[in-house]
Amino acid sequence: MNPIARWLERRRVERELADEMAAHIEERIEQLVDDGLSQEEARIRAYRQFGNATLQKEKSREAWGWNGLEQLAQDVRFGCRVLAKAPAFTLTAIAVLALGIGMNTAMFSAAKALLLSALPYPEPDRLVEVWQTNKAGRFMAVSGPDFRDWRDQNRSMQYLASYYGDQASLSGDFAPRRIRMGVASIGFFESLGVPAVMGRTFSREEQRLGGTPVAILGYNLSQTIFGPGAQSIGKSVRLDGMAFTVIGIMPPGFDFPARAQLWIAQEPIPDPSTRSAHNYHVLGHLKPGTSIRQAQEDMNVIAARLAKAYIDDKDDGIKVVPLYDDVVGPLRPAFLILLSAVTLVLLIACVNISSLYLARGTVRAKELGLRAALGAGRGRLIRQLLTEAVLLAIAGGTAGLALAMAGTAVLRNSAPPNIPRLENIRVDASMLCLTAVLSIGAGLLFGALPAIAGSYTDVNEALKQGSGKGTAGPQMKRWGNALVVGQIGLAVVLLTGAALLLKSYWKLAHVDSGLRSSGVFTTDLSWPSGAGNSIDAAEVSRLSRGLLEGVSRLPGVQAAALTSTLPVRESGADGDFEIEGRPLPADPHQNPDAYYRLSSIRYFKAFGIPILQGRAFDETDDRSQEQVAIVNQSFVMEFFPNGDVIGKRIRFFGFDRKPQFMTIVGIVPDVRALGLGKPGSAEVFADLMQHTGSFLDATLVVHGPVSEQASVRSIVTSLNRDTPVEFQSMDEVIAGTIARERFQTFLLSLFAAFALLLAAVGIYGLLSYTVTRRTSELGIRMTLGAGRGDVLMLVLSEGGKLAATGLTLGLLCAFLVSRTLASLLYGVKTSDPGSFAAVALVFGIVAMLGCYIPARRASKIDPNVALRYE
Amino acid sequence: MVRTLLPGTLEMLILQTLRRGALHGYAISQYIQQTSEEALQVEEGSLYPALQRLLREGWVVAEWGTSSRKRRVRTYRLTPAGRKQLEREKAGFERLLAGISRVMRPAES
Repeated sequence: MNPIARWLERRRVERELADEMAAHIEERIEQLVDDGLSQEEARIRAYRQFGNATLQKEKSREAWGWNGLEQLAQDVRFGCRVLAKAPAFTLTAIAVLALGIGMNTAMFSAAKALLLSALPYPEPDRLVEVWQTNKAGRFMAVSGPDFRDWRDQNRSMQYLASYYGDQASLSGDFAPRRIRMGVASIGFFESLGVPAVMGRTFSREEQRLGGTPVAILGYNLSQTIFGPGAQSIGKSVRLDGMAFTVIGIMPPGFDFPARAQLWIAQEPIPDPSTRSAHNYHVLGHLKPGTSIRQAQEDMNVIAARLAKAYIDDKDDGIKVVPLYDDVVGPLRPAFLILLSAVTLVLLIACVNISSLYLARGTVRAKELGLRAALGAGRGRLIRQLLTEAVLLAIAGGTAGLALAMAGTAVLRNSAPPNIPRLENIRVDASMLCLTAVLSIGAGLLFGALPAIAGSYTDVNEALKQGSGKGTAGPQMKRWGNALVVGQIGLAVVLLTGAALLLKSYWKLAHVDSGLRSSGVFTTDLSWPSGAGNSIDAAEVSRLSRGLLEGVSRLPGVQAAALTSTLPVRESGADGDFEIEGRPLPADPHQNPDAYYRLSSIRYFKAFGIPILQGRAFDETDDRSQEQVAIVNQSFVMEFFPNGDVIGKRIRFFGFDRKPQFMTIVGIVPDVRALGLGKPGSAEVFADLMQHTGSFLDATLVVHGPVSEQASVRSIVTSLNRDTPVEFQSMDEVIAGTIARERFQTFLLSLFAAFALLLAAVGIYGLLSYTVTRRTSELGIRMTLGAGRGDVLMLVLSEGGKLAATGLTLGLLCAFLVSRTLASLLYGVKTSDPGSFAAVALVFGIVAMLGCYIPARRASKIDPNVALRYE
Repeated sequence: MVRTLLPGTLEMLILQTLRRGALHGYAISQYIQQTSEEALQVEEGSLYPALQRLLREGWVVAEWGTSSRKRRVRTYRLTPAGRKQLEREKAGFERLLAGISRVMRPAES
């Protein structure tokens, strides 16, 4: 019989055993009566000979191993009853635990998806990212010729592939849309080792320069545009107007690089003049048995060789990093801080419950004493208390799990889009286990200490005491105080971190970008390419002009402009240039360089940027005229400190096919073009209409009401039906650039708020309990002449002392650990006195509130009632 | 008179007793007392936990029947596994006894 069946049968077995024993005794009595004893004597003798029947039954039960289970069931039943009788305590404890465990499970699920799990490729340890480094050791993208040399000369890589992320307009028999795509060289899919789920990846023929144009779709994109389950292999799609045949579908979740939705093949052009154009990322797949270090040494040899051979590579090195670090590395600092914060929250929650439990334990001393008097051993009492703790933890853990599921859904949906691998976040089986371990662990942690304290209950003492007054000695009291101070300290540390991040975020969000963002909306556009993926300058010119004229004519539109890159969101390109009349330095690395942006007429008007000197672009600047440029103040300061800049001529090298000198016609103020957190740097605006041969992608900027969006859309569609239009207000664009900062600030503030609440509950709980215990003492004081104010102050000062101690300790700790936040802060020092003061103030108010409620209750005590309170 | 037995001895005595045939609890205790000539005065009740252990191990089986005095009783019977166990325990017991004897009477060795 298996143990479960036996367990179910146990009632019958026990009844039979009882019958059997009774029969035995009766038989013995009969025997003894036969031997000549009286009935009474026989009975006494028989029982004596039989011994303790109850004990024997216990022992028989033990033989079947039921005792443990039975006692457990008893403990659980009893525990439930005890908890149900103290609903305030129970609900508080469960809520505190649920939030602590829920937050932790959600955050650790996110951490697992983002940081802990290996890259989702067959041989993640052999995948590396290979960077070029400049003189200062900063990572740079790689030029086509350099990449080709690396690929030909290295001995450590099984595959070396170039790739980059891009955006494009995708059209076909469906509504056109903007998509993110990966542009990959030979060896890209081989490196990652991920096969297509339908169809195939690129063939050699398709990957060579000028090969058949084919595309591979991501699973979700294919489902969206062709419908679920539809046959998509062999279908034709247009990317920026050029036809591609779909040859494969990648499995769900495959989105390398940069959450790509589609991949096309492209070999870097072997044009020696582009050795200084750093355009490509490089992915490597190490040969079997090759370490990162060996690969690094191999690449060092190549770097030295190239540095000698080419002036462009003179100071450049090569750095091999694990792909994992490359993908996840940038996220790690913020994430580790958030994880530490959330762990602190759970710790505070546990300490909080521990102190609640301890306070209750002293109130329960009488009950425990009674149980001890009735024969429960210390082990049994500890087990009883631990069972209650674990029950609480399980209830809290279950509720926490539900919260975690909701939390991960929120994380999935609300996190900024530039965090990779986010869609993988879910509460999985291992996280479920973690929740269980956390909840049981928390149960033991907050159960063990009070349980041990409780089991020291002196039976005599406990029973002698009146109700409502436990036997908490000075030790217990000190321990309770320590717990509360600890909670406050930890909460203050979190609060300080949140205050610093909040201040930093506030500063970042309120940086004056230098351009008008409200009332401005934008859409990215891609004009179709001409034959052979070339740029048809005349066509781009016609479309751009048509668009600007059409949109400008709309009644509500105040200004409409095109720009090659959108400020704040994108830095734009940077390049070297020469100033007419000034000799170029011998070392090309010393060339003057600046960011440049192509902008149309009314660009500055649309963004409300004033012209400080000279003029803006106007209709007369077109391809037939001499090229013109507008520069910003940083440019003037850096290259023309005397200010005589108007009329000077500059020429960018990597601009157009045949770069010409551009005459500087105007000066504009700096804007935060590189991002809100970055000060302006030298920037040059060229007239878009004079460079229509160098771009297909542009962003339309409209200063006008949102109600004109439908008209703008129809103008774009009438010019080119393949161009998707997805509007975004400039405010949204700017908010999007600080989404990550907002997200981490939001999370840390949430944790800190919760910690603050817990600390307040902790101090409130301790004081309430103290007031209850000291009711009669306070009553005596009042009878002896203490006023209500005196009593109020008495209790307040007890709480105040704890709060002040905790606050001081917490601020001290915060001062020591806040430097870990340095990398996340903008414009705020880690020792920012304002933030620390704000924390002290906020915490002081909350703590006083937590103290005031019990203190008020104490001052309302009626001495008559209090003295009878025993 | 012996009141406490070495652990496990009671089980061995029960198995030995049952070798002669199925008996109920009372009869087993009666037999042990008489055969040991009242030397082993074990609490009769302690027989029952021991019997439960033997049942659990599958060394005896029990069935309900009627005693010679027309009382509903549970009789226990040795199983082949129980018989083997008895041999093992006997061998062990004899080694133990021999060992104890040698210690207690060192002069004769």
